[in-house]
Amino acid sequence: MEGLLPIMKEKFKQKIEIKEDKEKFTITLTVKGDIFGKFLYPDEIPIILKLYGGLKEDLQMEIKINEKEQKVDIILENEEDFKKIQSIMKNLWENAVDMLAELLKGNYEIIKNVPNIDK
Amino acid sequence: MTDSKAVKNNPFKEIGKTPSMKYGGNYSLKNFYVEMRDGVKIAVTLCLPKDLSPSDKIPTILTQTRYLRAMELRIPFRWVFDEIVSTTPNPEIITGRGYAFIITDVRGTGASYGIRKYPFSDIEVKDGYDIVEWIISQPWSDGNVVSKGISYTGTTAELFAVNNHPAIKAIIPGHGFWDPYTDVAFPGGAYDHAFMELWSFLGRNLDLNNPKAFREMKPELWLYVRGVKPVDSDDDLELLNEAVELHKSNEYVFEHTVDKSFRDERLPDDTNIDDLSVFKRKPLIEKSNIPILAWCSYYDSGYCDAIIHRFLNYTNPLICILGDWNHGAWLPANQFHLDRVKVSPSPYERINSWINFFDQCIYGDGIQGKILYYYTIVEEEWKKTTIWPPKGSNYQKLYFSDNFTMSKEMPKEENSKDDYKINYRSSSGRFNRWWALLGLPIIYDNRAKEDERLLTYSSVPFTEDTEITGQIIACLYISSTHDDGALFVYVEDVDEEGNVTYITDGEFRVIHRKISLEQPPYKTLVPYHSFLEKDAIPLNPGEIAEIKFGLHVTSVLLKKGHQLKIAIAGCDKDTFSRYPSEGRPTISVYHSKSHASYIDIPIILNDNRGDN
Repeated sequence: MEGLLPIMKEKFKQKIEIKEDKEKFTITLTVKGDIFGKFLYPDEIPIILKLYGGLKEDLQMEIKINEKEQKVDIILENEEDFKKIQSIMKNLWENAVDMLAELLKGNYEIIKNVPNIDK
Repeated sequence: MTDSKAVKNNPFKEIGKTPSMKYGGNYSLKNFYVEMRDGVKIAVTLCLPKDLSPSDKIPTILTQTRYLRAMELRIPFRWVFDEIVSTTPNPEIITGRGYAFIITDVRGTGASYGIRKYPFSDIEVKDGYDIVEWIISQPWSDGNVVSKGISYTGTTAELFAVNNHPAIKAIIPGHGFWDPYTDVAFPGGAYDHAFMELWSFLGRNLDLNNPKAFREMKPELWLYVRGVKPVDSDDDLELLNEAVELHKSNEYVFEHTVDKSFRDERLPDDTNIDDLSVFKRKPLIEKSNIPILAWCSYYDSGYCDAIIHRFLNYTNPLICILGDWNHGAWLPANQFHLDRVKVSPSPYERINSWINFFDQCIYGDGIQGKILYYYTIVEEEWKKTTIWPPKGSNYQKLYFSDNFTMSKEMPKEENSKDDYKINYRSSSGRFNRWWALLGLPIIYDNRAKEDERLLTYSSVPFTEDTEITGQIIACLYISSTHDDGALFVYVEDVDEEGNVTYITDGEFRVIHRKISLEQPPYKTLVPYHSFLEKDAIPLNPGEIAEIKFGLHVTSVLLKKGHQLKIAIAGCDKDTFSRYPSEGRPTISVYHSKSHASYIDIPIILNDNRGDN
């Protein structure tokens, strides 16, 4: 993974399209082209929001997965929650890469405040 | 790490020339189950060259792991990258060089079914046979199978030979044990509590497919790894969940060993720790006569000594390599060059050398006889030998003396001793040779400060460059206020500025001190302690006892003007169990005429240096 760091952010940007529907409090991720393995497991969106996005709470959200189209709708309950996730999504992939770079340098402090996301 | 400029005798330059790639480097990937003779399904990842034509027949490299044969990445990494096994370099190199690459989860782990009560069981080893049978029945297989691995997978590679299957042509065990009692669980009879506990914690969580083990131990992996990769047909994870449910009945070595002391104490199924070993399976491995390339580092746990024991004991065609990197050679570890950043050989050079060896065994004349490549630290040169100890090796004693010195002269006075109250805060840290088994860097740093807590003896400055190659023997005459205890003996280089650099060490629990006259289970060059319950002898408080044991193998050049320093501790708090578990003994180390404590150093006489 280390060798891939310099190209990761750009790859994510190219590969993942993010669309928002403010009226329906919905954020849609669409992944273009081939992927490696399963598109998405239902528990993964809340996990990455906490892991890479710094989300501390358990927000109610509906996750609608379209495996064939490699598309997921994240439907929030209200405007406040929608804005929260909208803001997180802006830098989510960049954060993931930056965190990985820090961990590879041995800076483990970076994950100190990540809540328990494991079983 | 070795100096990349050290070319002469460099095994990575000598093990064949790397040919150009036979295939394009792209590979296809499949994950599926193969059923064993007893119906247990083993999860398999198969990589084949993408441009393999239907008429092509190729050999297979097999790796059997307990650390997830393939990892499923978290999103968004999974959407973009296909890093199937983070610790295995580049399946594209292996497939590009014309090999199929197969990785399996051993039974009871990863996505495989089955239950495991302890590692390296006979049934786990036997699965290797069934996997080979499956491989050679495939249309792309040319009927040849080889195996390689590091650490756990190094041992599964070595034990693969036990199966004596005619398709198995060569094995490369890297950084694996020979004798799990002395090399990892109870070095010198002292329990490696830290590693055994963490390894069991890691194993349990991996087997339950819970990535939290990574958060604790490999946070960079935890960030992008979700768990084990399910087989391709397992869309709803039903099979994986079924397998993981079975793993809940697994058992772990920490629970079975933490309250133990002796080699002959029982593990599950009426086994003992020797039943997990390589040495006990030596007759079957020798019967196969499969060529072996075994490699390790001086700084890796007791696995460094395992290389010497293989060299002394195997009759198979054998190449052994001892270098100066960390466990698995992902990082440099030369304590005299802690500033080095990149490991040499690189993982790319290494994998190509291993494939060169396999090529030689499958397509060429194989290898004949035995050869040991060893790197001399500070001199920064590779050497090779067909005998061990190498030519010119000559043990020379340095006796402990008054004023915390060491001398070539035996003490002449009686009743000379130094009292030392054990300091239970002393530690070699968490980047030592034992924690290294978790893949951590190895850093002992300048030990001058730590040595203030210890009992130390220093030689006079050496008058010429002096090579030490082999296993130093410590012979200490001690008495104690308690009936149990452990000794940790560090060997250090002191330069003209007073910088103290770690060379090697050895550890020993004193109740095991009886030197057994029985036949050892394998040839060894250090005093033989059986570690059996019947041979245990508690100390009589106040009575002098001889404690004689071997330290971990090294090869180092002591520069003219440097001093050799011995530092003695009674504990290594971050790694080993405390002996005795309660109380704070005072020990006396004698350096008198009748009880002359010493270290015996394998020096390579100048005439023979570099002449192997």
